[in-house]
Amino acid sequence: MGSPEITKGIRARGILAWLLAGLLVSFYILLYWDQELDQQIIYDLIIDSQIKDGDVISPEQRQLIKQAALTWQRPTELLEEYLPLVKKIQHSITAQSLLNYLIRPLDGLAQMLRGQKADKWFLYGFLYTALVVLMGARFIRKWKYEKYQKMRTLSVMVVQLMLAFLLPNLMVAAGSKEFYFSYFWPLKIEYFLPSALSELPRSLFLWGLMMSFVAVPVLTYFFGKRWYCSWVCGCGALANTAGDDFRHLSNKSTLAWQIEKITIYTILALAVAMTIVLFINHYRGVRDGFSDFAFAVQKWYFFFISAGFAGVIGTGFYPLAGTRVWCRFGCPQAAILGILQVFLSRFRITTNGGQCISCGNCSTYCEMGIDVRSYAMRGVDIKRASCVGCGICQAVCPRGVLRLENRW
Amino acid sequence: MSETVDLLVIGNGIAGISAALEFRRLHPTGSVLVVSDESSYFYSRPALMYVYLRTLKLEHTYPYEKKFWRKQNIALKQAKVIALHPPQNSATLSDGSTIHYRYCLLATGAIGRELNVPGYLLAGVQTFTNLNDLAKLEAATHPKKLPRRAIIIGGGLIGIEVCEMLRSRHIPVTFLVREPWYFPLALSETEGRLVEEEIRAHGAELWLQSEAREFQGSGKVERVITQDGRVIEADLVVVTIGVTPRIDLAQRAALACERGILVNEYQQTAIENIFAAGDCAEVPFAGSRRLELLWYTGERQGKTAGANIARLVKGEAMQPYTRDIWFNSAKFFTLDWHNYGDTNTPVGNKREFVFRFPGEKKVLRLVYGEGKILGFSSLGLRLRDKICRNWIAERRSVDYIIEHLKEALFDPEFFKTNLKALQTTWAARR
Repeated sequence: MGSPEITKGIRARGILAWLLAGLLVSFYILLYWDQELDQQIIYDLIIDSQIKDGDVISPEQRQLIKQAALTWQRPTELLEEYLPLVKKIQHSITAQSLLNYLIRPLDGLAQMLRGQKADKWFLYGFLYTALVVLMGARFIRKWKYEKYQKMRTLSVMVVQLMLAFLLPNLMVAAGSKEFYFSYFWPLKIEYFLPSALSELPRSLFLWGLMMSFVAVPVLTYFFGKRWYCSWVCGCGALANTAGDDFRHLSNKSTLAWQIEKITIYTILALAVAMTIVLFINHYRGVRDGFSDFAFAVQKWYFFFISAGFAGVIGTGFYPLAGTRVWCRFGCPQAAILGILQVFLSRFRITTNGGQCISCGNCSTYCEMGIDVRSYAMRGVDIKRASCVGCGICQAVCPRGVLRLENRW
Repeated sequence: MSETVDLLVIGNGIAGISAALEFRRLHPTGSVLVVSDESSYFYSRPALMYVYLRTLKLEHTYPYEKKFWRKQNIALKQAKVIALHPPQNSATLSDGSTIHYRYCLLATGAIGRELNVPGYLLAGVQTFTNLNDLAKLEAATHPKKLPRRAIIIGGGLIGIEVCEMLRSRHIPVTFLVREPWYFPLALSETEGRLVEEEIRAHGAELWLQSEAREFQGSGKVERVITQDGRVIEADLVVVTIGVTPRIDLAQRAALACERGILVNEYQQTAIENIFAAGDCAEVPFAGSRRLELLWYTGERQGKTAGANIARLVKGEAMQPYTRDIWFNSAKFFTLDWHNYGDTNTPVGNKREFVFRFPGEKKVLRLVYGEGKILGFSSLGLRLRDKICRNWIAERRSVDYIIEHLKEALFDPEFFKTNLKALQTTWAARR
């Protein structure tokens, strides 16, 4: 079982855990810092953004700012008020150049798969996939006696490697638009926004629509939320492979459950509202206050929810808050699957009569913070919106009390 | 300092806590105080091994959040009850306070049974049933100073857990078991042999039909001499030959005790406002009496006691302790064990069908009489509680059960069991 100890070090929010979280969060911040890679482009962009309302920087000052920013030496003639600007440019460049050390070695691979030089998103996809595959292999070895664990881990590894890494890159190489077959609206919210209508081939747009509105309810009816969250989704894949050592850190309190219900449905409501607003805006077809509002909503949704919550908090905080923070508190796809799971699904976790000894293994290792034991102790079946059906509770139960089932 | 409560529960194990909660459920306003000398909160005793294995912290074994007790208005106190004074309806606690009670429940549990051989009191010899034992074992097997060898004496459910615990720290283990195969009290020879394979596969030396004659050492145990004269050098001995009810407090209060505190079918002792439940109680059974030393029986007895006390407070009639179809479960290293109904070694008209799945670590045993099922025992596979107990209650024929066995399996999805082989063997046997 590798190192099972949860009482100290990296698995117990020790100093190593804080360092790792710091590292992961820094990586995400670097990743989202800026869109461009070239120092000159960054410089130009930031300088251009300063030119507004007639407040034009004189060519001489621009030259000085450039000199200061790119040479890291402050010319004496530089006005004090431009110092923050110099700093801003330098920060952006530092961020990019740090990532560049990681990106450049992947150029060969990117050229081969994608027909282009690597960029930071290629780096991200590569690291993500490598973690899922390598740590997935480790996970399979750890649970070699548990077939359910082996099967679903193999599934997420294959989906991540094929559908979320190789195929999108090969599509780019073939001159098509990059497309992820394993994500749909509202998790991949841009697949059902007006922009998708214009940017995506009609067949891919329809695929996304079919998955969101037909496959999700039908498959959830038969198998519960797990068909997606534990067998397909990349967020779950990373959590259950690379993040597996941190699953016990999820908060089990009833307070956390209350908070989860508020946040996840709020984000679902936001996602739905944003989609509606953008479509209304699209069909109005005019540029006015409403359209500014619509695009602002979109921009902030991507910034706070997609990048900030799903990325930085969702993954960066693995070693401190457990693995499924995004899945539990944020993911709008999980919210929909969860509602279906409770009201329209054959899935449940059956408890085996009075056999529970209240040991707490199930609750401790539930990454979704479900107090599984409280149900098992009473011999009550578990039907919870948040349950992703990872099956670890049935694997760690020392008395054979829990079983994931699709039955009437 | 003195305090008055409606119900004083002595012991916060599964029996005491079940009683307190059941009392609260039926009597929302009565005051309840639970006193324990062992821990401030109710924890799951069978989970102690996971705390040692470091897969759980002690807090993880608390079945209820701390705020739960406030919400339930159940007071908890960590103190030892020094004396119980039935005539005064009061108890004296180690913190100097006196508790006056209307009703008292003794749920003092059991501790590891002592082995009556020379050297038993040497340092390094211990049992394993509570937090104190856990602390001792932690000290004796500190990762930086592991014992040369540990010896486990007595093969039951606790012995194999201790074996798994010690092997998790790679301590050489010699496991002395008196019986001819592992745990014949509950397992057939076929099942016992499979458990033995599992023990040996995990690196422990298992000596069957072996008992300790003497522990030797100067101040601290250094070696164990077996009945047949073999000498084993070891720095740690864990005695797991069963448990013995904690009845000293009851005895000093002049309550009638045999092996446990004697109670009637309502869990009531000879003194009508004092009850006893769980491991410490000796309950009426089939015209005689017995101890019931399981988690599940402790829970059920505790519930009965708590409910009956609430009923008495409300002036209602008490209801007797009832037993459902017997069940139990355990885990022997990686092997799940489920047990329903009567699985004792068959005598008289009873028969058993024991099947070890070829090439697999699985045994299914069916006990039956006159062709009708009496009990199930499954090792290496899980059985569905509801189906097994229904079939026993409905007195289904073994033929029916073998044909429908699939419905009774409770193993995780994708877990294959070769039922065909079992069915063929059963058919050939008839």
